[in-house]
Amino acid sequence: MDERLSRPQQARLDFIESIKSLVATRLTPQLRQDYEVWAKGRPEAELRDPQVMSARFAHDPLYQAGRGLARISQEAMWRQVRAAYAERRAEIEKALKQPPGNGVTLQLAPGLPIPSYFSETEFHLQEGGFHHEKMAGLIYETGVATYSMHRYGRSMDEMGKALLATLPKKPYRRILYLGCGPGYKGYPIQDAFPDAEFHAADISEPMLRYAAHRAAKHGRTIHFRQTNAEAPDYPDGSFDLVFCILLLHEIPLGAIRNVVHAANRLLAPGGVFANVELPSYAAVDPLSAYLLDWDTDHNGEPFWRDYHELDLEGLYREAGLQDVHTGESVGTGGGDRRAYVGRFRYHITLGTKGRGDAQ
Amino acid sequence: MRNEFDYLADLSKTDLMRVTIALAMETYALADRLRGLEEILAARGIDLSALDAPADPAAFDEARRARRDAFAERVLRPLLP
Repeated sequence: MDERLSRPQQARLDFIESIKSLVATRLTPQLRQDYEVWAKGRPEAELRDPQVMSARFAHDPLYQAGRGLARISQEAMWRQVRAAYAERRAEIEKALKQPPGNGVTLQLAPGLPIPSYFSETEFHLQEGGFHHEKMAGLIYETGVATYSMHRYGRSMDEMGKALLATLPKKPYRRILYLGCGPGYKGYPIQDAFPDAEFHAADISEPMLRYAAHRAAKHGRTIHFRQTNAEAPDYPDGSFDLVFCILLLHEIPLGAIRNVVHAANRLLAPGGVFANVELPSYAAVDPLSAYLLDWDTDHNGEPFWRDYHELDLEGLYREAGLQDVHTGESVGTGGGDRRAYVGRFRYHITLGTKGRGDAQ
Repeated sequence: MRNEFDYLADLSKTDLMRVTIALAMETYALADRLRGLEEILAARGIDLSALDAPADPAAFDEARRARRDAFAERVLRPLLP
């Protein structure tokens, strides 16, 4: 399976990336400058009121240009990625149906009930979502490189490295990556604990097929399983590290609660649960929160707002986890290049299963 | 994916048309230059299939990235502050 793009195909994505870069480097900084003049002296509570912010910005041409280009470029990006692989679809789908080989295992669960919040959401506007589109994993990885303006680094694993930087130093022997998607974000964790048994789970069959082939291609022994992160099909106390990366903001509040409780159930005493996400609204300034919140209604992120307003640490404690705290790790991609403003800030929420707390 | 929200409701249609014309002009100039170049190369017996070979993203190639960003800025200038 050759997933590389031809130069003309890549050039189209490069151009789309440039539009995203212009929004980030030209339109948003000017909008921020205008905002700071307007916001001066106003109470923070007012600036965190979406209605007040909307009244200020909704008809601002600069805001409209930024948001309009963000939406249009996002649509064009996915359309272009799908078109690029369309003529190779039969070959790619055939390859994905083959066993991954190279020591990688893939356990699918035909008939597994798929909740509609997952099957019917076109995450980040990716057409067909992660359930209906058989090439979802390949399309996701290619599109996200452009979407992130390559700030995740060439190997796209910056979030795994961020998690590693904040993880309590323990000799983890059995590790589970919940909601693994294409899997590569977890590679730094596997690299840091080479003797550990590394498992990865997702509800999406297309994602798992792609992740398994990708892992085999990279010589990584990973055991993939199709299961719902709300009720993962593993015995209690199976793991001493369970982690997820950018999973929780893609699912509704009730499902988040189930995932956190399930993680606690899967941990052996002393085990750690870690979740990597972007900061909550409360942890960023009001303009950033307002701009981030736009994704909820306009960028295929229906659960984004609920997640970013959630008391996640409280949920950890409710599930029985101890020593709960949130650390920050700043990404390394992009900041050294003129066109790419802002490195990603990752918030990693950690909790430990009590020693006398086996369920 | 489609929704009915008009993201550019209050933007100047004249500016948007300026963007469209700028883009069309750049595209035409590029296509014309490329056609001329291909004719010259073909006349000299040069194989052009490498033009469609896989390529790295411009993000990892400083010169291509600079050309790309300059192009996007030229096209979108009417919308920029």
